[in-house]
Amino acid sequence: MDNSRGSLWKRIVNNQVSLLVAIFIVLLVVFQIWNRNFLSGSNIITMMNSAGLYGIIAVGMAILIISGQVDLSAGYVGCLAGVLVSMFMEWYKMPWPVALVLAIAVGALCGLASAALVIYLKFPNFIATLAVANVCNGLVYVITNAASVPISNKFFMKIGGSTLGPFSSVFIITVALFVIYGFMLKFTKFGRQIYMCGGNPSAARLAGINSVKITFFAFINCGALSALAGILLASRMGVGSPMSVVGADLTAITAVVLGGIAFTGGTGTMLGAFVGVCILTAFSNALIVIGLDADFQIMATGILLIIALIIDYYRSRGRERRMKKEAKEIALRKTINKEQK
Amino acid sequence: MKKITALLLCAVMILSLGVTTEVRASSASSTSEESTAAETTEVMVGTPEEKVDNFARDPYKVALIAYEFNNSLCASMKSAIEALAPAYNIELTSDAVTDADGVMNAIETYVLQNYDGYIIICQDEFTARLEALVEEYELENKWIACLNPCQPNGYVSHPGVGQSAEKHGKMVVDWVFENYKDKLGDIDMSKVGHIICSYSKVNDFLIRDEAIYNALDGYGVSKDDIFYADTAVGGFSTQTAVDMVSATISAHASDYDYFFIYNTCDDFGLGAGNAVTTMGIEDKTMVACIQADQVIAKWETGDKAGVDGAIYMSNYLYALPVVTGLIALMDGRATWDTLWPGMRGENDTASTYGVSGEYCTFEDFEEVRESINDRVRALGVEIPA
Repeated sequence: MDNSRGSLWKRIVNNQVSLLVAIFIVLLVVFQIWNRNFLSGSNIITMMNSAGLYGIIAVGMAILIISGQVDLSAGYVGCLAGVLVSMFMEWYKMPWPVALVLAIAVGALCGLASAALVIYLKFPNFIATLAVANVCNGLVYVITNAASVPISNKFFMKIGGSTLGPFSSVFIITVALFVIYGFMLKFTKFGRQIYMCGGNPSAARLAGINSVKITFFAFINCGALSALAGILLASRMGVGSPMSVVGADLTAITAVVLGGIAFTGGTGTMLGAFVGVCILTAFSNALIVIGLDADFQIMATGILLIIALIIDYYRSRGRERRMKKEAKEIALRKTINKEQK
Repeated sequence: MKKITALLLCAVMILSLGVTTEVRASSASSTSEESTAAETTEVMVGTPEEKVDNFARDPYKVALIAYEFNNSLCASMKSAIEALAPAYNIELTSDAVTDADGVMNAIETYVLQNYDGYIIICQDEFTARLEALVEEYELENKWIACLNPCQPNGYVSHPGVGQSAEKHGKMVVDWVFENYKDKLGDIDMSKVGHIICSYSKVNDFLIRDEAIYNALDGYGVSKDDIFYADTAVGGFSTQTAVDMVSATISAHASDYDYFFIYNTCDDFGLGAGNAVTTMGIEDKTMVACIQADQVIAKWETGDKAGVDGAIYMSNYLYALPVVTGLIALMDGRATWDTLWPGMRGENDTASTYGVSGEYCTFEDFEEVRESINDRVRALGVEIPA
């Protein structure tokens, strides 16, 4: 009996995703005890809506970080897309599907620009994406003069603002994206190539993997998904706001690192990223529900990011030690076999 | 006989002196009354009502300097001032900078280019340095504060135009308490939770918050029933307001049947409206906000967006005293300490021209806006379409 309990505990601790799920459940229980309304129906929907927005950006960010890159323009790209889709529909009277596709295309274009700066001009990724972020930010204010663009298309507003049973439409879209991209990462050759590019770029190159193509894909994908997040937010709010989504990139990075995706690239799963998003959303919401002062809330989110990075550091070190140990054992076995021969 | 005549003459002289004095006193008092009467009908220097021939002089070169125009109020203020500038014979240059150093550098640059005047959207973090710069370049009578007052030591030290933050904070509470019965009926007020959605990083918002707290106290609302949704957590945006208001309502949903939500700007009003609509509790809430531009833009699409009332202020009524006050300073018809007498708060050493708005709802916003625009047109301003 004791052995099985011990092994269950070990299994939970050693399995990254199980540990995260356990932490998530503990958080929910603690905050529910603190405030009995934390797990009320309306608050769960609020958390799902919040998780939906950050989750969509986190999907793109997860792929990017696994491939060894990072994008600090995701928030501003999302903001630009939200404003553009509103502008296309309200000022230029475009049908909403056309407006939506165009806005996503602009997001993809921003990702393309970031990739080009990183690959061809050898900019560090955070500098390249910050530059793109500033361009997007400026564009938003040139277009809107800091005023929101209200949306009158009721059908479009339903896309981001409706529910299916207890689940919000944004959350359903987010879960679908996590499933699709999770499948791609785990079960396809392309997914394995993304891991290789991030984990060991030299080995990937030697293995004949086209890391340029993968980097382009990762950035364009992140730009397009950030645009989708901005569009869904505009749909939910009923306005294209020049201040929406900004800052969501850092939140998404925190969530995916918390979810076990190494900041150095090459490891992590979509399931872990999803649980990371849920933990972060629940944590942020709980701080509001328990009435913590705004300044302490900002500090708490920063502390959470530091904790996530520390955990990531020790996980990476543990991984490196395990890999070195395995490599030594393999070399030793080869030597023994040679001697035996 | 001669002595009696002399005494009589003296008496007549004394009497005549007394009468003359009385007459002079009456004249003086009637003059002062006339002047008082004249003063009361006389228009104050530097106000939009003052009639001045601005084209009898050369154009003034004026710089509008802001700490970013990245919110709708600053941006619309800039647009209104830019629209007024030609009518007041001003050549306006707008400059948005992203930090306090940038503001100082911008001012020094314009001083070197011999600009005549400056409109500065103040922020607390640089007003102390601004005062030093003003003294160094002798700009006391060449600049005016806009939107946020210049109050480096907690009291207003230079003329400026601002929203009547205190008045609006009280107005938003008064409006809710005067109108809630029309929507919610005769409800048990002990079952009402009060939420203030604001932004704690800007002093003007803190003044509105305090006014709201004081107004609620005046209505006998307990502090335990008041909750503060601070958007400083996630940034100044409608989306943050949605998250904050939703979470705050959820946290206390079992304790209250109704919620009154007071928003210190229209972006938050839209957020609160979205939150209550998404949660399906529009019929159990009152959502009101200070400022109405963003809300009216949404109402014009036919969507009430969950907002019950908003305080509408015309940007032109806001921008006009900025322009006329600065021109009065530059003309020399007033100085920084004599501009707008009587509009000075306790301990303040300079005046603030307070602009206040009127409440409007989804049903009557067009009429309210038109009546305010008529007031602006009566001051000789053409409002662009």
